[in-house]
Amino acid sequence: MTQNPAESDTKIDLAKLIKEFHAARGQEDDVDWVRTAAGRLMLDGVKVSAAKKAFTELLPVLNDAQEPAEELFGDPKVWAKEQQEHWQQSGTPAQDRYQLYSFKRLTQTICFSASLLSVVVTIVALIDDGWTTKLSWAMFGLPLFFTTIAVGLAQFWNLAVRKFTRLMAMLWTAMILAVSVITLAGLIIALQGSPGTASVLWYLAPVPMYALFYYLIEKLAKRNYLAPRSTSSKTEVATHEEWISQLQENLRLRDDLSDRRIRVIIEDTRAFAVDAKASLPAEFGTPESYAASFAPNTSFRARREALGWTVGSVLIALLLLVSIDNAQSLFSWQSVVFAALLVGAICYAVQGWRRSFKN
Amino acid sequence: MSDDEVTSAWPATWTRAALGTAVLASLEGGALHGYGIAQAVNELGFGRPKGGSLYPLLTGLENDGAVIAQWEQGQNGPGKRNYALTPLGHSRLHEERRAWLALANSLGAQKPDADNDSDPQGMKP
Repeated sequence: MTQNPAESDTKIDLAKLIKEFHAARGQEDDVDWVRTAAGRLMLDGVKVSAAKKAFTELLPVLNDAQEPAEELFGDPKVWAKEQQEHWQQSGTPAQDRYQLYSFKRLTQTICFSASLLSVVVTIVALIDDGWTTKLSWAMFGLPLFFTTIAVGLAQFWNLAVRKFTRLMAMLWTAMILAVSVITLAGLIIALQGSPGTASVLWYLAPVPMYALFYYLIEKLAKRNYLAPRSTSSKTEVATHEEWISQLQENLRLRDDLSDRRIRVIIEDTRAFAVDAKASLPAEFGTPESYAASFAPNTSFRARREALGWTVGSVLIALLLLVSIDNAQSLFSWQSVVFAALLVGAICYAVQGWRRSFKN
Repeated sequence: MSDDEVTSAWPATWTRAALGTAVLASLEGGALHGYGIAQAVNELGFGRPKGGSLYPLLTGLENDGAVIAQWEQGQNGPGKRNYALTPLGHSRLHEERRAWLALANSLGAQKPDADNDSDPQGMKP
């Protein structure tokens, strides 16, 4: 892990920037312009801090010229694309993919998601059994277990894409997923008992506990009890191999380069440094800026996304078939949910394939 | 990269703008590996581009189909990738040369002047 800008980025107030754009001329058009451009940058995985810096540089121009933002800077989507090209050409690392959660964010996400899932569990129990039901310990524990596994798996994936090739990262994550599913099944079996028959609203009982835990984490973080203990500077690259390893990590995080292309870049980099008899930082700068200076391969990224959505569609279709078979009816509430998810996944898959051929 | 060239005969912004054409021109005589291209570009007067500028450019040219990379096994050490011009790269080089020449001619040509036209011998004070 070379950096974790999540903490600083989340503190940046984009809403304040939008207000400043509105204050420049008092026109809603300028706010729409900045919202569209910001949306495009966010969808392209640009860091909030990089986007904010770019917008801040536009403000004096808007204030001085007192003309519509669209006339001054052009179409917001085109501006966003050009801005990314500028970052790429100047080797400015502006992308923000596969962020690693800090301990605070990890635990708070688990608490928040477990609360939401508790509400979902309650609603499902309400639909299935009415206001009174035979309560189950497993249903009490399910939201916490499920979100812990889901968030933990996401964190593992974000770490794995840095350290392994894409295929290896997928294999490792699949293995961890299999172990997690077995563990979850074991926990549910272990919690088979029932505390008795009562109102389904009892399933909401753990929510205040999650809220309290969320609050305590926030308090501890404010008092710096959860601050990272390491004081070593990540920007200092000690050895040749560490530099190469950081380059590899940053190239993987771009998400638009195949493992083969990354291997080629690494081999070329090593060979050039040997021929030039120069150090890697002297020839290539920092690993982050060098990795950022390659032009984006948008068709590769679109193809990969499309493949992911296609595989996802097949899995959802299987779940739909299983739910129809279980309910012995086409129109159970589970089949309706899976059908809606399937339509969404197919839409994304089609959109992804179209983009991959268009680029 | 802000410091693109080691030493160059022209301002850095000019060489940066023309570096793609210079790389294509360096491959006109045959395939070269990365450092060989850097040296050939240096001989053209551009200074030796740093690896951090050269490889993103080469990757872009490869993606555009202007150059093709071939693996060459090293005799004593590790192998190297050689880059060669494709037919598309040749025509792109031809086009870019023509465009740069037109630009240079446009800058070099003296602007027609009303006074000079009426006084081609330069007799007027």
